[in-house]
Amino acid sequence: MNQRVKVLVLLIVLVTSTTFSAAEPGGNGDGLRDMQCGGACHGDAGQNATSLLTLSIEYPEQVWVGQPAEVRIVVEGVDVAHDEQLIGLFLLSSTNAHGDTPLEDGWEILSNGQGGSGNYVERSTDGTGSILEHTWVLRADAIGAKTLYAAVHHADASGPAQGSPFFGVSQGFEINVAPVPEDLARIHEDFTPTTAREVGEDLTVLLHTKYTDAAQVEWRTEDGAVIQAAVNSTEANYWQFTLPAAIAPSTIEWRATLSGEGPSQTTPWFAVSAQITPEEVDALPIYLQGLAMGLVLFGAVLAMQRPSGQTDDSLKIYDETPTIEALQPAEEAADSQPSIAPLPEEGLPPGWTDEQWQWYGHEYLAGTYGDGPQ
Amino acid sequence: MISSNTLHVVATELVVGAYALSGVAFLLCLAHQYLPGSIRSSYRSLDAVAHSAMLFGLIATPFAIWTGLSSAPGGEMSSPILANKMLFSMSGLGLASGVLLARWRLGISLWDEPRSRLTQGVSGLGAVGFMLVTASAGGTFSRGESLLDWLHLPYGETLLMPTALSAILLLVGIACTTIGLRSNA
Repeated sequence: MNQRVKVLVLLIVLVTSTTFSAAEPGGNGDGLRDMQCGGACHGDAGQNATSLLTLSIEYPEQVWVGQPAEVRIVVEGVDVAHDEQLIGLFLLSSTNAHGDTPLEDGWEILSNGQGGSGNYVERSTDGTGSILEHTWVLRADAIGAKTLYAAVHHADASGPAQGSPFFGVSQGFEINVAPVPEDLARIHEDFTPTTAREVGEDLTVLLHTKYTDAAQVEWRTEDGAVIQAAVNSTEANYWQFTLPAAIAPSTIEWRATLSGEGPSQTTPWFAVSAQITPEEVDALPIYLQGLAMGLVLFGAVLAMQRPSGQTDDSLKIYDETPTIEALQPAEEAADSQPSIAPLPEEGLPPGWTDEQWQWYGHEYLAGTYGDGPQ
Repeated sequence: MISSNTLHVVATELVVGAYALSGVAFLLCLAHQYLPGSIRSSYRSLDAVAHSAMLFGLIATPFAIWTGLSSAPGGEMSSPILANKMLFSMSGLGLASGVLLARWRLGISLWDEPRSRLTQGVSGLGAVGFMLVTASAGGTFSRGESLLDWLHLPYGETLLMPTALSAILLLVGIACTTIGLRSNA
């Protein structure tokens, strides 16, 4: 087969053996992301297939302006139509694909349920069953109707669509943000809950409230056990309590029941994640070590690949052959030449050339080569 | 406005693509004596591809390092993976620079001598290896996966030397460079 045809066949095999998917099964981490990421994070939005997951949003019957409210995305059909393994969940205020986070519509994200305050989280589907729920705590800044959407992106780890990226978005869910009842016992608008802390450290929370005469706080661990916290009033409408230290990265949640002269209120569950922050490292030693390693390798290659030094000029300097030859006696030079047998009177033997006579003349005269002299 | 993340992706793709091409060409150069005659006779072309691709990758490497530092979330060295990336990329940078300078000084005749051929080929492949491991560490940092996951490389651990030892190593590097540069004087 022609060499070029072989190369062409090899290239075709290599190109066709690749898949057209670019899903990232390792995920991208939680954050604040537009819906555009549902395509762009998979490489090319045009490659996305439609997810068969069913999405819905649950929210409280009463959502008051300036007050925290739990908004929960419910994903149904997990591990049924797809083998997701990891799902990226978006909470969106529109489907514009850009500038569509809840922040763009006047929401403040107080908690993403995983120690952050973004609208995008990634959840493993291991052990979740067919229904996956995730809760955010939002706070609206204005009265009126607001629309929220749920979106997902994920891959398929097995089956005919293995490795393909999938994307899905829910219908809009309209939430009516109402004015707060005048004397409702409530969290003050300037209170922002802590969402993360270090492993091994207690967390003391100073809760600022309004129209509140009494506060009870309870917290729960990931296994669901609920424990009452001791609450102290430092001054009017300020309540202090301490959440115990975690011994490993994990998440606990707390909520407060506030009561006063007006209606009582129980806040949403606020998630607090315990994490290990990497130690601060001085960058200078790393730069210095990197520079040193690079320079050593650079120098090592140069030292090993040194030119040999045998250039034409150096050869001329050390080549003394002409001088030595000039010093040799002429006789010695003559002796060094091979002697040529004298030609017979009749000249060269028939059919012989001068060169043959030069080399084999003696043998001819001695009768050991050719016909010999007559 | 293009973000540092996007610029870093562009720069790293240029670097990795160039170095991958260079690596294949270096491998063929190194083993050209054992290859079919058609490839063996074209080692001059392979030499040109190997070194020009490496030169292109070398030019793009500082941009990749700079945009990588700008786009690193939480600071330049907030993760051991980022520290390893810096060490690997600087090592690859030094090795590639040495390979290119050696090729420029010795010419294509360096492939004629077994010793210089082995040094050039192994050094070129080493530079490519450092860059590919750097890219793999970047993939692990940003996406949690990379093509080299099957090697189970310990990206989470950094072998950081004391500053004094780094300074000594720096002096050794300067000495090696001086010896190498003065050898044909």
